[in-house]
Amino acid sequence: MTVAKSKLLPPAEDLTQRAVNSTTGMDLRLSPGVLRRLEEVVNQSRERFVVDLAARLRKLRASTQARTDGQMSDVDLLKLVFEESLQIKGMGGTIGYQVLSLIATTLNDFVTERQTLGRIQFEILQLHIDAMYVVIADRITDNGGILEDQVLSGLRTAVRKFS
Amino acid sequence: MAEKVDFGGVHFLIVDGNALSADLARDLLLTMGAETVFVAHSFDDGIDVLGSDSVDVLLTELHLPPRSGLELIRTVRDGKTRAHKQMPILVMSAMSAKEHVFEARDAGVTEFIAKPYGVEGFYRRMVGIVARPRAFVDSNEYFGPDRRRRQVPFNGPDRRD
Repeated sequence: MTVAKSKLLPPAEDLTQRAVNSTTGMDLRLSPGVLRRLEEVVNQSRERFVVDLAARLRKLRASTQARTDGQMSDVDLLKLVFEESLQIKGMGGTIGYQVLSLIATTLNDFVTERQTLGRIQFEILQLHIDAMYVVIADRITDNGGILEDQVLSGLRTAVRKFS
Repeated sequence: MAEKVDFGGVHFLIVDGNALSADLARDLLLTMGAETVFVAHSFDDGIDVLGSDSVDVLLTELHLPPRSGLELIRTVRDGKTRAHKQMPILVMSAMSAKEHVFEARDAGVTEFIAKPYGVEGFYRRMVGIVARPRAFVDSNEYFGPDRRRRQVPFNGPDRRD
C-alpha cells in the first residue's frame, strides 16, 4: 500500500507582521466603541435592505400568481423560490429581522431539490411568502413574539408533514 | 502593550452576487480601518480582480451561480491566481447547512460565517484570520489550513515529513 505523503507548512506570517502591532488599529478584542460604530453601519443599511426584501417578496408573489395562471412551470418557480429564499435568509437577520430569516430558512429547506409542487406543497410555499410579507409590512424585528413563534412552528410542522 | 490589528494596509476582496450584502461587508471593513476593499459580484469578476490586483484576504459567498464559491476557493488554493496560495479565505454564506460547511472546509477555507451574521462574529473572524494565521497542510488530496482545531492524542503512524 502506498502511503500518501503530506507536509505541514508553517503559518504565513507576512500579513500578520504587516497588520499586527502595538500602536495603531483595532484592539484584538472588540471594544464597546467599535461595536457601536459597526452597529451604526448596519443601521444605516437597514432601509435599503428592507426595500430590497420587499421587492423580492413582491417578485415571489407575482411568480406564484403566474404559476396559478399557468404561465410559470413548477421547476422555474422552485428555482426562483430557492434563490430568493436563500437571499432573504441571509439578509433578514443581518438587519435585525431574525424571524424573517427563520421563515426563509424553512422555505429554502422545503424547496431544496424539489422538482414538482402538489396542491398542498404550493399552499405551504404561499403561506411562507405571506408570512414573510407580514413580517416586513409590520416591521417585526428580532425573533418576534408568541404569535410569530406559533406561525413558525406551524410552518415547520407543515414542511415536515408534506415534504 | 496590547496587540492591535491595523487593517489599513490589508487588501480585501469581497465576492458576493448580492450587492447589498457585499456593500455591507465592505462598509464594515472600512469602519474597521480597511482602506482597500475590492468588490466583485460574480466568480468571473472575482477571478479578474485576483488576476490584476494585489489581494491579501478573500471574502466569498458560496452561492455564485452559475459558478460557485467552492470553485473560487479551489482556484486560489491551486495557485491559479496571483494571490498567495495561503491567503486567508472567509466564506460568508446563507448556505450554512453542515454539508456546505464541510465542503468549504475541504476546499481549503480558513473561516466560515453563516448569513445572517452579527457584527461581533464578523469582527472576531476578521481579526482572527489576520492576527492568528493557521498552519497549512499540503498533500495530494488537500491544500488548505490545518483542519484540526483541537489537539487530540494520536497513536498511528506519522505520515508527514
